[in-house]
Amino acid sequence: MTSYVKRIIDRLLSIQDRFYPETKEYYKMGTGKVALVRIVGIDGDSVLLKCDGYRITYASDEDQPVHVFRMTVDTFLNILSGEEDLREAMAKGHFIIENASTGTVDIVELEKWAKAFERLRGLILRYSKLLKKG
Amino acid sequence: MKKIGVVSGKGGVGKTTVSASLALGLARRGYRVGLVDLDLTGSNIPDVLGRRELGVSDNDMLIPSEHDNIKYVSLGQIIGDGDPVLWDPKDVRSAARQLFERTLWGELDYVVFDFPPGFEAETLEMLPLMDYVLIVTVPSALSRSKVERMVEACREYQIPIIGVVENMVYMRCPSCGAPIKVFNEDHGFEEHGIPTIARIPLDPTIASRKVIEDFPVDKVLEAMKRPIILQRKPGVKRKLLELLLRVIA
Repeated sequence: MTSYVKRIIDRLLSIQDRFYPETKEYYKMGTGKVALVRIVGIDGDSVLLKCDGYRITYASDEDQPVHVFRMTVDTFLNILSGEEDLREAMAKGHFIIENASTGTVDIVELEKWAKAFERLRGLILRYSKLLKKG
Repeated sequence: MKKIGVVSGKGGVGKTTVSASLALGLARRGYRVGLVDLDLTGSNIPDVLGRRELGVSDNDMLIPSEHDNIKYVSLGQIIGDGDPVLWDPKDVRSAARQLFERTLWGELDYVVFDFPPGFEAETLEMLPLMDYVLIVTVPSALSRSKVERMVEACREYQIPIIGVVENMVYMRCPSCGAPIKVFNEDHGFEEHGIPTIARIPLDPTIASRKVIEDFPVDKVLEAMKRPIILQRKPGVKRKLLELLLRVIA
């Protein structure tokens, strides 16, 4: 059975990819090592995400992250909804950083993820407006 | 034992003077008072209360120094005067906690913590442990924006706020005695419901004595009966997102 966190992420990524063809020009594949996001569900199950440009996808075993932002699904939904900014969540210690080879956060990756979440939020709003129109 | 943090987002606003004055005022009213200098890399409490050497007990606890019935500890009593504290932040965090927890305080009514400016390692470690905070600011726009961050941190940790002490608000004209505003700003935090406890002038007497003799301790004690706990922002956006996710399902 698909876990709660996987179901939520599947839905969100499907919304994102709905708009993919027309917003393709925004996507720029990242090069080199990146930071990943691990979202942990209430049942302990988790998903690992990566961000190519501003597009969020599931990460694979081949991805070699500089570190992983590990957050609960609750924090993730707060960030995605705009209740909390990723940078603010970092400042408040609402997520932890796994495997930081340098022992510190990669602030470029943090900024990239903050923008990716903001962008996904925009797509969700756009989708909800489409739903309203029917 | 109630823990009172004297905090600010900004340096040089008078936290140490207010901490020492509050501790002194409480001690003069018969309370048993401790004072912890949490500014590990820039300790000033020994300059105010005296640079006495700390004792060590048989069970490896620090024995605090005493001045005017205030028990106090500071890293400045361990590290030599003028020696820089070039420590890793995690060691600073650990030392901040040890300074409080590994001291033989005995029975105390209040412990006043003199915090460093901003969100240094000591602040991150100790702020969540406070029962109350007293915010110190100067009425300048530069201070305001930093202190707002501290107010938001208190909201985050749900720490009761006693009020705001506005320092260096005005000075007296040496010729006519008329008050002259030092900064041409005037802002407390009343819009958050946080009361202004005191408006302290820029006074050479305070600067030389390093304590405010008439600090309004009674007003602090009164405000502690009804401290301000700022409410977290309601999660309307989050509820809307969850609703939408259900619709998509």
